[in-house]
Amino acid sequence: MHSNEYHLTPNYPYAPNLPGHPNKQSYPGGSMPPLQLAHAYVPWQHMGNIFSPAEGLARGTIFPELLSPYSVPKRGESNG
Amino acid sequence: MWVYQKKLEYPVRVSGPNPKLAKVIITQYGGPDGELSASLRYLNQRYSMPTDKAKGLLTDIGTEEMAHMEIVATIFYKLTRGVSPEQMQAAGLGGHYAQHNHALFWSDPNGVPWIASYVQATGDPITDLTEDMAAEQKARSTYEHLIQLSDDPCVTDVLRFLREREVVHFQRFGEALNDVQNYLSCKKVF
Ligand SMILES: [Fe+2]
Repeated sequence: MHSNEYHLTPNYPYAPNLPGHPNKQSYPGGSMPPLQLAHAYVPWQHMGNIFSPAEGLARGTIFPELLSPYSVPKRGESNG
Repeated sequence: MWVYQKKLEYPVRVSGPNPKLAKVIITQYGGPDGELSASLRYLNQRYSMPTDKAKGLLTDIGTEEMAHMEIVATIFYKLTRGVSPEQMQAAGLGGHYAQHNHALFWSDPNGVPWIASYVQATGDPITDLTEDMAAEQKARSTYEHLIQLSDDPCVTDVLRFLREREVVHFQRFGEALNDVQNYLSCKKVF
């Protein structure tokens, strides 16, 4: 990627996990420093819909966008 | 200080005695990527975090990992309850029985005892939070291996809960890393 492209989008990209809120700033307060090489980042999570307490307990999270159930790979399939 | 609630974070039921399954699940009690490692790592690293938010997060997640250690202990205890020494031996838990009877002990499935060198605290918050994110992924992978090894649907259900918690913790540590990197770069400017 060209280093210039970073300066065109100095903020974090919009949160990828909030389809209902495409215009929501992805950093609280609005401005996040530019992404830098050799740094690790995780997209910010925003408060959205939540599961009921009982469903949250059963699933391990109250946040639908964080839910990622594990499916056991079929025999012979590598899980690498 | 802590406030103890006399219940598990997630209820533990087992279908019946299963020392073979207990033998592998012990890794999340006292193995390298288990819950003892996780809780002690976070509760120890929190002192050298630069922001109150990061300190608070490590306290919260470290506390939850202690609750997970208790869940894993309960699984092992229930899977080996009433199991005879001969059955323990046949399941590969002869060494465990010789040293610990039906008591719990922090070891991995091969009997290697827990050691403090499974965890680190460098005093560099970026390094430590990156270790914490790796630790969550290692715990997630281990739970996936255990789910594959489990032949007890009740135990698998608990393992799935614990695995999902690691996914949530990874997100929180990632957000803490964003935050701390931002804090440290602001500090450099002013
Ligand atoms: Fe965790």
